[in-house]
Amino acid sequence: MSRITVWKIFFAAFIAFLMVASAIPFYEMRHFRVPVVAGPGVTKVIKLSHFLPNLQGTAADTDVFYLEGQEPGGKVLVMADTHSNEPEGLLAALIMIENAVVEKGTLIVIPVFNHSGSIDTKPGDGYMLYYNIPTPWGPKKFRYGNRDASPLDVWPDPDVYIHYPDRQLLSYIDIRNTNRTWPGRPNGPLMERVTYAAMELMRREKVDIAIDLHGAETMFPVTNCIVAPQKSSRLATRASIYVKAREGFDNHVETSPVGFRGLSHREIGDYSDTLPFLLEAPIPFLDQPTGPKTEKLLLDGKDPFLLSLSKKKKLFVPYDESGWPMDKRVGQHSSVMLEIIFQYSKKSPQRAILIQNVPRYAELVKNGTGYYLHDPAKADKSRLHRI
Amino acid sequence: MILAQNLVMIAYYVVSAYLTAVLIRNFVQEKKSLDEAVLILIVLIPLVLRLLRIK
Repeated sequence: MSRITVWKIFFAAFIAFLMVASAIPFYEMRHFRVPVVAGPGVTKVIKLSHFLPNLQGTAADTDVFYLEGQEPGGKVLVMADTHSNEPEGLLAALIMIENAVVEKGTLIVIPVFNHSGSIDTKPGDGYMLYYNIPTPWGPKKFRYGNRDASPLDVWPDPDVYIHYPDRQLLSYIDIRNTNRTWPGRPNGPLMERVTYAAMELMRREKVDIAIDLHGAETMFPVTNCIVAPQKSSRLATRASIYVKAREGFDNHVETSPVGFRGLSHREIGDYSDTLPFLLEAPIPFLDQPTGPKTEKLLLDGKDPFLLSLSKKKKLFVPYDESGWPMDKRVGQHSSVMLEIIFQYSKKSPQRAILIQNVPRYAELVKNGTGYYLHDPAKADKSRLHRI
Repeated sequence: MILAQNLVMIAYYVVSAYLTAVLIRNFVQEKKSLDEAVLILIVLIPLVLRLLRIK
């Protein structure tokens, strides 16, 4: 055997080892499922493919939790993990699923709206694959997903994504972004089918309010806010004022731009009778000029570089040594959602939605998010779901 | 639309498989330059991970 052949065998074995070592964590993350304990209010769990059968069997199909009250009333849809690297929405949605009791009307929750994105990670940014939320029974492990669907499920990307039906030219990657593919179509690319299925859900169920939970960089102007089109702006403004007055945190209102297509806060309102709202919480982890992208930064939101930028007035939110912790972000989402639902119920009593047992901002900041998540090991197996 | 998209996706997998086969053949046939052989192995990584639907 020649010398070069020996070296070739050595390097082939070394590269094979590297490939296997790097592939195992990605493979495990793609197949890891988060246990969710359906709380006392959950009356049924179905798949999104119920509203569009061609989603069945794809990585984009996802669980839809129904919490139906004894009394008829209005309906609210909560969507989280539209962007799976913005986890405060998922946590706020899980707190609802595991705790909420609906007395009147129906609460529908899709905790992982872009399921394909949630089983992928963002290349190049050094994201960790998982994060843990401390709970009284130990840390609860979650996947830290990506903003866009996995290329394993939607590939290849086009040069330019042409939005349907407006034909607006969007970035190539937006074909995998479930907040650019609204209102979708039944035979379109995978993410258009996801949004179309959600539109079908809203149309068939006659959903009154749709809330899409997000997070955004502190250096991005549309952060710490409620984004609403004109038809929802009155309710959004009332919710914003009331959370400020009663709970002491800012959450201003941003108007949904008419000329920017594909976003939930634009298309849901234009293509259905539902009133859309998109909530943005500030996530320091997503800002570019931070230190290492660690689990700690994700959870406590403390970063010295952002602090320095804050002193130079470069951020769009107040920022000090206390950072912007996860519990505060989850608490804001929870309170703003409850306030929008309350304000809508006040305005339309015949379509009221009464939800009990969901913690608000002050309780979440005091007790922590994990306090409201239940131990799957102690749960009745029939109430256990994996998302 | 779904059919067209799936056909394009299948075509990309076929292209990836073809490139993988060509690269493996080149690696086996490379007799002179160790640098070339290592380079081929590195280029192979994303193609193999995609074909195995891992990343």
